[in-house]
Amino acid sequence: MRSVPLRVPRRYLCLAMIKLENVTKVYKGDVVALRDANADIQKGEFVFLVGPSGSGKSTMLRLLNKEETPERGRIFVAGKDIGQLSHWKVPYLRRNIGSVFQDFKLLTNKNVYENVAFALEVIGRPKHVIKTQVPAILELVGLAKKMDNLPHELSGGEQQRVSIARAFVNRPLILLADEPTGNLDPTTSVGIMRLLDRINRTGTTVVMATHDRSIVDTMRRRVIELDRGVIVRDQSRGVYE
Amino acid sequence: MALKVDYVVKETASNLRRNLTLTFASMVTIAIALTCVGASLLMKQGVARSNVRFHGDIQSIVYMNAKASEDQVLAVGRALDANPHVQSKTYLDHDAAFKEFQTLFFDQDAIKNSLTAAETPTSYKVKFRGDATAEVVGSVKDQFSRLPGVYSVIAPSDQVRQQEDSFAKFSAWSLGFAVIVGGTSLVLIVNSIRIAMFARRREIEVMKLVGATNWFIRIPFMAEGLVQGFLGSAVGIGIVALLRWKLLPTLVESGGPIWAGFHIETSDVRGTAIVLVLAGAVVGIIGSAVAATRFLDV
Repeated sequence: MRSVPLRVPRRYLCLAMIKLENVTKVYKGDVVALRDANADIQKGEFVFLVGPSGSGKSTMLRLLNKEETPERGRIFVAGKDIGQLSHWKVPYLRRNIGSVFQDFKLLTNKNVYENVAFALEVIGRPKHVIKTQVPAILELVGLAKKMDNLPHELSGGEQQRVSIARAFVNRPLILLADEPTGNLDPTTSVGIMRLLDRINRTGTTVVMATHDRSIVDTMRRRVIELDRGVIVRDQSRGVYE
Repeated sequence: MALKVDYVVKETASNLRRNLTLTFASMVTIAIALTCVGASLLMKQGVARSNVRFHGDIQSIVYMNAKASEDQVLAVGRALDANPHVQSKTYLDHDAAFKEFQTLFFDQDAIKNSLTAAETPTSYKVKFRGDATAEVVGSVKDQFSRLPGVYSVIAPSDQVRQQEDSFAKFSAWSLGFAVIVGGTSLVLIVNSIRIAMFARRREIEVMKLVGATNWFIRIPFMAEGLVQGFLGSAVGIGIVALLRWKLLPTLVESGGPIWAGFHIETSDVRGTAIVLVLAGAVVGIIGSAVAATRFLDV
């Protein structure tokens, strides 16, 4: 029997893990958050988004997991034009994207184990999978001994580790981090960055918005700088400046 | 994605617990609305049953003038025989009519002694066929009232009509009230689900970020609305049953002729209970689905 080649329209094909094509996002009151942004991010890259507050870093991250929709331009994630995704497919896109936030967004009434398990539970993973994957990821982030603690019993750094564990427990292709060290002291921040670097080395593409000059300057990874919604610099092994 | 039953049960129970006062308020309003619907439905069935009873046992009396001639009396008798709706007739002559008159007013001497046998009007007692409606009885009454020698015709059509009208009015008011209270309960459910969703907005935000589908998020809230609907309908059914078995017998006994023949079977209550459970479920599901859809965007 002859196999029929899968024909995908050329315009929907993209080889980069993330690709932005002339993306513009305008908020109410004609506030331009992103203007004609273009970028290609390959699988396994670690990219810093830098720039002053209001420059469009968080908007770019929100566009990538389709929390926002651009006014113009196209965004490809894992080869798919996410603008073409129907509403009901968005959750499936998000299962390939882990998100980490400055304020951790942990559920205060659930303990460490439950917070991480929750991410698997709500996407319908079987119990036996949850029982093996959650302890493994907590081991990876160094919190295996604090599984039963509630978030308020943890330090800021530990809470961020839980947040990272939750984002990574489903082994996403991409990890988006919006100022993950923004609420942490420098020493703790280093620990968090080591963890993100370790995750990146597993092949996960990491895109991180940050204001932390020392981290960017130390790690020397690709830097995309935004200013008033415009990409003004895209430099491999860059510094904060 | 498979939605686990234990997850839905756990989340629904937790939502109901957190929202206890609003859950109670929603349940009470649903119960009131469904009680009105139930009372209205049972009223209709009770009226239908009482009509059936009337239809099977309608008696009418054609009173002749005391001075009506024998020919006139016979002509009325022939007309009754010819009428297709009349099943049988019994003629009471002066003596029989006088005897009945004495029996009816046995305790009121002034009336009892006001007539002699010769002065007592004769009459025909008429029994209609089972399919005779209030309208038919009414038309027969009109027809015979106009015949020469007839003094008056007494027929239960007016009473039947009066009863039907009264119950129809009650049903309409009850249904109208049920619609208003039903609308209120819908708004309350929407509000309680909205508050439940607001209380869990952080959780919902995380759920959406990690890729939970909208249905996964929505279903526990819809189940919450469903439980509120079921609880409301259960209370409504309880009240309706109480009305049927405690209030109705008193009304039928002491409520005068309007309640005559009014009867509700247990099967009527059972049928109404099913309708109320379904109505409660529909109100609960619709209210919560509207709220969950409207307030799900995080």
